[in-house]
Amino acid sequence: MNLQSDDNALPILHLVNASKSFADKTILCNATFIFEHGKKYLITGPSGAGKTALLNVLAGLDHLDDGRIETETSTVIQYLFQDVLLFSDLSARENLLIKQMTDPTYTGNLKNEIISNALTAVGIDHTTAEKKVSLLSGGEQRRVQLAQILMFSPDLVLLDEPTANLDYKNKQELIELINTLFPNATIIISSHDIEYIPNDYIRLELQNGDFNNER
Amino acid sequence: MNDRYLAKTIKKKTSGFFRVSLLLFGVSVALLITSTVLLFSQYQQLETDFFNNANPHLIEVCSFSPKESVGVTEFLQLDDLDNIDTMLAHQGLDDYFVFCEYAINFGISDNNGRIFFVHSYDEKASTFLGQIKADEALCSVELPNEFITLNVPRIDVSEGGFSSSSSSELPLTLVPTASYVEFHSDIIYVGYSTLQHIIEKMYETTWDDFMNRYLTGENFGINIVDRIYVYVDELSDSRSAATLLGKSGYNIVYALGAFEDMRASIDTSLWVFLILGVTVLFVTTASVIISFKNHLIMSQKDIGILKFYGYSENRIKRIYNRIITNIFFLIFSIGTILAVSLSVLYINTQTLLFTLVLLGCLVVFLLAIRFIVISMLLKICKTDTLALIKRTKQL
Repeated sequence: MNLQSDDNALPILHLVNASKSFADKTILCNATFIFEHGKKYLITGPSGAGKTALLNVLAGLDHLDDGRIETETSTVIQYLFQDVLLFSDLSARENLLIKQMTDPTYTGNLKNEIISNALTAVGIDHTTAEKKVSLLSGGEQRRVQLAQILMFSPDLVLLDEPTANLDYKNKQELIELINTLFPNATIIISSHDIEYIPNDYIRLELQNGDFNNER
Repeated sequence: MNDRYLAKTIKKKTSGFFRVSLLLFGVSVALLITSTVLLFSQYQQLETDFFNNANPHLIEVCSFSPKESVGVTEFLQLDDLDNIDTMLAHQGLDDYFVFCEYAINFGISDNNGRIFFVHSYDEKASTFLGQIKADEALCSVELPNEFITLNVPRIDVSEGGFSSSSSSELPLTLVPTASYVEFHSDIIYVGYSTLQHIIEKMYETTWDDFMNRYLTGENFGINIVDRIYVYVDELSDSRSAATLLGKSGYNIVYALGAFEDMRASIDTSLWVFLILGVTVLFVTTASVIISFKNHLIMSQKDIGILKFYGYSENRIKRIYNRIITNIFFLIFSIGTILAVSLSVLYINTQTLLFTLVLLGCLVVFLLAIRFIVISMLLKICKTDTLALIKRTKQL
């Protein structure tokens, strides 16, 4: 089924006749879909449906078997991976610094200011920021990852199971934080914890190689 | 912030095992350099003391004891020179030569009343003793470098005795010399031609005439052959030459007989050291390469995270290359400091040159290991990001 939410909406990412198989499973089968600017999406589906594989493809970490993804070159995409991809022996601040170094435009005091602002925004105080990541809780580690993403003011945020392994309180706080941090960005979340996701998210079920709009 | 900061930050993450492994590699390299420089230095000393020193090669023939006359010792004769030469040639020795030390077995006074005993070597000896100038005489280092005039007696041979009623002057310059043969302070060595000149003055005849008559057994009142020396080029041949001479009735002085096969023994030791050294080098090299491989395997997730963050393959290569190069530079520095310190300790141009060659080998060796390690790194860097971040969990 080819599904488009609004013919007049501005696309930030356009899947065109996309096909992707992973192991012996078909994740996308000639699927076409437009993700629109500023909209928020929740990708659901049973375990093994290919939600992570889809996000990997959207983030550019994996390739489509067929079809294409269209997006503007200026679009800043940031991806919160399912696993915690942080240097556990280094502090939260150092992790942000390393990520920031991928952008050569950051120089001088601006770097520290951006890092401090990002850490403050996600609720990581100065003391926690100087601790080794391995000493932080799961919730704090997720916040550090969000701070890394926030530094780049992304247009499109991909989040793969951001609430996995967190307790009830942390799950709720993290989803609220995501909505607060990226008010104007397009957000695509893949999650099993659908009860924590606000109702304004467009729910897409990945099923039989295509998107099924649940609403 | 730049790659240097990143390299420094990532270096902090190296495991204790890897650090210990690198330390052991550094120690192995340092020990090998130390032992090689020391061994070279010792070998050089042996070269100077034994292999390049004439004394251990010399067999001194003092006199002759005929087998049939037990307890009888005879002076050496000129015939013995040929006898010994022929005997050694029949034994199959190639690299040797026989030479004679002549002596006038009575003292000759100078203008100051000092008595000198005149000795000389035949011309064959000049190949390693050097030529003595006609107007010079080598003397003990105890004597000063000075000009003397010898009063060479003219010997009158008459029935039943010898007499001397006149003399002729022979000016000579004394040259104090530390030589292979120990000098007594009353012995001077003159050149072969000077000796001939003295004999000619003493007996008022030509050297050839003197020799012809001397060989026929005419009594001149002197026994001109003092000693015969056999110089054997290969120390390992010394023993057989000495044994042959001894069995033939010659009384010999062969003080360094115990060392004649030292070169063979040293050469064996060098081979053993070389084999052991290469084995140690091979084992430590294999160990350090395995350690580097393990370290890179452990770093796969880090490399994956960097790629995930957006670092290019080339940049990651540069960062890790910096870390690896720093490690090898540190090991090279330690090796250089050690080797140079040792060569300074044994101040010697040859040791210094050897040390430089050794350091050159070390550079090539470290570059070769670095090449292997960098190849492993490149392979990891080319791996797909998803595969890297899922392959290893961080420790």
